Amino acid sequence: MAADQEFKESYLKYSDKIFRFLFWHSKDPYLAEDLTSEVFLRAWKDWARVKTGPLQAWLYRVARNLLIDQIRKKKDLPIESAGEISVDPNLLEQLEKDEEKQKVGTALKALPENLKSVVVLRFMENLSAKEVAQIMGISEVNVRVLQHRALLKLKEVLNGR
Amino acid sequence: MEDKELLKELQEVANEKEAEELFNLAQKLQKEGQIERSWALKYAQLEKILGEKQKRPWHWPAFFGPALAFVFLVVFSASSAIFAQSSLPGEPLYPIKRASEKVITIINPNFAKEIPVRRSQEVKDLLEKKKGKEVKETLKEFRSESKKSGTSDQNKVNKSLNNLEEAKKSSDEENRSEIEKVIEEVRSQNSGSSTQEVKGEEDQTDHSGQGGKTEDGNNKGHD
Repeated sequence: MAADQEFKESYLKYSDKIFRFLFWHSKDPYLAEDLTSEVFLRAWKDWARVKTGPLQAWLYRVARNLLIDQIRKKKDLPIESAGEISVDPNLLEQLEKDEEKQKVGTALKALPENLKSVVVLRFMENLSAKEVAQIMGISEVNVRVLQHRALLKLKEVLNGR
Repeated sequence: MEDKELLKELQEVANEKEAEELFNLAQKLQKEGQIERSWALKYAQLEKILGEKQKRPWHWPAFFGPALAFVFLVVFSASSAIFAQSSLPGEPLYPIKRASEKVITIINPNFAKEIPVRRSQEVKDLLEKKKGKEVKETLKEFRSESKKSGTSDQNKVNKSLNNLEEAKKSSDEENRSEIEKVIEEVRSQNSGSSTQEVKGEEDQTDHSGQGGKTEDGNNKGHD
């Protein structure tokens, strides 16, 4: 299969997952779209190597690193792809009007980054503890501890409303 | 992640009640976490990354459903109206036929003169199909429509009279006498207006010695 066809299939398979990961961390759909684009641009540039390993884990790790950089440096990352950032207006409307999603987003803000990552990867993206461990670079046992802590904290925040 | 796997993991670190509560919360997060971007956006991003136009698989556009429903409605309405034209009183599509006549008359007022002909045709068809029940009512309609449209269009009047004469042949005694009454009414209506026309002509000319014109002179040979 041609490289661009392989990449295209992978993009269509994973781009929403990466977007969701970035969105639920940042609550900013524009930033999420921007960084999603960056993640896949980096994948495409190094596609021959990237595709040989566990692609999903690689994509999430790059996304997470970009996000951490964004938080630490608090500056705009150079985006190598030209053009404006566009977000699906229907999606924007949905996010603004959906109260439950708003509640979840606000509750997630109360969590530190590592707990947030576990919530998004383990519960929202339905990954196994092993896959989450691989992405976060921690042990499976650690993932289970973090997931429990994350749920307790979220329960406290959501019930406190 | 299997639901059972997560529940088991939670039960290892919490009591049953708490594990269930946390499990339910995890389910809620899974549901609320779902966000999908549009295909258009994804393909636009892909194009930028790959630097070339991507062939997009065809998707039904969002407006397709309503547009198809509208087209179907128009086609269905038009088809119903077309099929209804051959319907007879008492049949399901007959109201559509009558409604379409009203619409056509609005667009083309001359069509009103066609309506008595249609009623007379219906009388004929009803009797040929041995559906005598509806004949009386249809004759009533014919009378009413004839009065409305008048007798100015002789061709139409003649067509109606022909239909009624044909109808007489297939009718029972009761309907036959009713039809004959209507035929007489139409003829006298027609001759009345012919007399008025003749009188009008006589008033206009100084000499009336042209001869040959009788009261029903215009109608001779049409029986």
